[in-house]
Amino acid sequence: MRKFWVRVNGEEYEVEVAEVREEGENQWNIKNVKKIIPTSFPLQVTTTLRAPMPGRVLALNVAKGDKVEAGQVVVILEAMKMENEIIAERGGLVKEIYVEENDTVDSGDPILEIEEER
Amino acid sequence: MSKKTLIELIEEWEKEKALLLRGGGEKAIKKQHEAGKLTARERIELLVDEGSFEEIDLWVEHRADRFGMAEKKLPADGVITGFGTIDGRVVFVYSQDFTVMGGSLGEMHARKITKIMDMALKVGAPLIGINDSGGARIQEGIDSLSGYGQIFFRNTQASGVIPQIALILGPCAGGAVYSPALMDFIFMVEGESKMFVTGPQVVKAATGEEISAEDLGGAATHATKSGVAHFITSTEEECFLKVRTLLSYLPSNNVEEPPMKDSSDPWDRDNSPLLKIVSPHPNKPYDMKEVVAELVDRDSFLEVQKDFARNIIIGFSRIGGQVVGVVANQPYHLAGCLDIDAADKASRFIRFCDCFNIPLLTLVDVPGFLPGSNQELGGIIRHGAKMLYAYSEATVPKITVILRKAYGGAYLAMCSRDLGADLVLAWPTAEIAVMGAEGAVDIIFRQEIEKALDSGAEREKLLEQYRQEFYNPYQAAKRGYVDEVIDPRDTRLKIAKALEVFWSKREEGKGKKHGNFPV
Repeated sequence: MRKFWVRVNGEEYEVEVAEVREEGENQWNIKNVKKIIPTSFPLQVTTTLRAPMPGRVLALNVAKGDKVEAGQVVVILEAMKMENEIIAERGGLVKEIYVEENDTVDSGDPILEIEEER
Repeated sequence: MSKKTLIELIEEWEKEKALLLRGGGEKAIKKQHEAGKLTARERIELLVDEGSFEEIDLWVEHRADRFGMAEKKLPADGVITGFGTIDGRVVFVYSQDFTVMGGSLGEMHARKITKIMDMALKVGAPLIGINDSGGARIQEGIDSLSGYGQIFFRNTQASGVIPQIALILGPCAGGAVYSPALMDFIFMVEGESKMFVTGPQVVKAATGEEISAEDLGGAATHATKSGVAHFITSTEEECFLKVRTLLSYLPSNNVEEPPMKDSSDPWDRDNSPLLKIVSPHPNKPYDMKEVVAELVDRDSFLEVQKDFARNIIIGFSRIGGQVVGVVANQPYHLAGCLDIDAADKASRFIRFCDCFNIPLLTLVDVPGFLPGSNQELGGIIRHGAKMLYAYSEATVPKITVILRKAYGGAYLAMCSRDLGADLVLAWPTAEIAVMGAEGAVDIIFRQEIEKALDSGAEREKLLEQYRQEFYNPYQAAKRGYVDEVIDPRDTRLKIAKALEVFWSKREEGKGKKHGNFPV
């Protein structure tokens, strides 16, 4: 039995996998998947910034690898007749960007990931 | 029978009393202090005016005899009750003593609480409950459970008659959470307060989910996610000061007026700074809190539930010394849309203000209800209805100012003329319309656009026409839905005048038991 930590859309899962050896061929059977709800802060915290409502990405103010400060406007989301400023709640490095300008996003869609170093 | 002198009897009384005042004893008190918590009596001393507290029922004892309880002596039965004053005004207080059997609630403990609740209701004075308890005293079985029930019943009877304030200064779990929930305001202290119906162990046993007590029911959780907490502070001392501040805006009961306070801030102060705060471009956000701060008496805004449903702002403040309850859309969050949480937050506040004769000031900049399947499936229909109901039902003076957007159902929900607003003012930047230009034009002129040689150009032309005609306050003003279009710089003085005029408004409720509020 082996354990893997998997991250999908910014959410972490612990996956237990059993190795089955058959005729020289390795097979993996997933035995257990547990969603990890962070109870204490690890050394590096990745936060996924999500669209708070359906809209269109009007401007991307950051690029992958940029350093952002907490409170910085990282994206302008046009939604509900408003150019909404989407703010990084924590500072850190932009690790991943999931959208491009003019993309339409739905409520809850990931926009970017910020990795905070402690 | 030996005859004792009066002095001897008094000395005996003193000795006994000193024992009772020790609560759970030195060791338990030390433990409480080491946990960063004050004792039940220290808390009361800091909360009320110095030397004003009069304790009652110090001598009450439990009468349980099962599970070894007969031999157990529990000073004051684990709760301190009595009355005192805050800024010279009478309040009734109970404070659970965690050093005595974990502050657990038994039959007599509950009876002490219900006694002062009855007194507070008779007198018409606020009730403040300090909660620090492990929960029901299991050894007392259903007598303990019945105690909770009697408290809930009185919370409900007192609701809308006297302000009820709950301080959570320790654990508050299981059924115990429902007394604070029935009260008007909940205060929590970061890192110290915990509230949940089922704690982390039960959650884990039942669902397998692992979650810390802090994440499940800490102050931050209830202030930001669940909306259960109205105020959070970082220390107990700060918490007591905040209670004092809150009470300074509230009448002692539903027949009193809220306390006036002289203000050095001129009632007719010019609001020129508003021109810098609010962008005339309707699609540019701004911070409505700056608008509120500019309009009300300097530094008088006390925000309620400030980190929950941030798309709507609620709180108490003063204009010309008179208390008003402010409800305002916040364009900085979710474009200021109304959603399930915002409707829930605002309507409970509106109802509180109406109960306690606090006029309502509504500041409108709302593009609509938040679209999305999670809102629809979450019941935005029945939750949004709360706002319509609460505003329609409120008989206190209702003043509405429309700053920019006021669209569709959300326009109606933000205390429109039709829901009984006494005075509706609008800035020249106001846009009062059934819906935005795009939506309206695509529906009304669908055929014209399709038939046009250049559909895009035709649509653009019609959009511009629609904007010209409807993106303003004058259509609504022509029909009298808006009473006056005002210079934004005069907003404060216009509100102050309106408050003075409508102060004497009296509306009788309909002769019915109560309406069926869309909870």
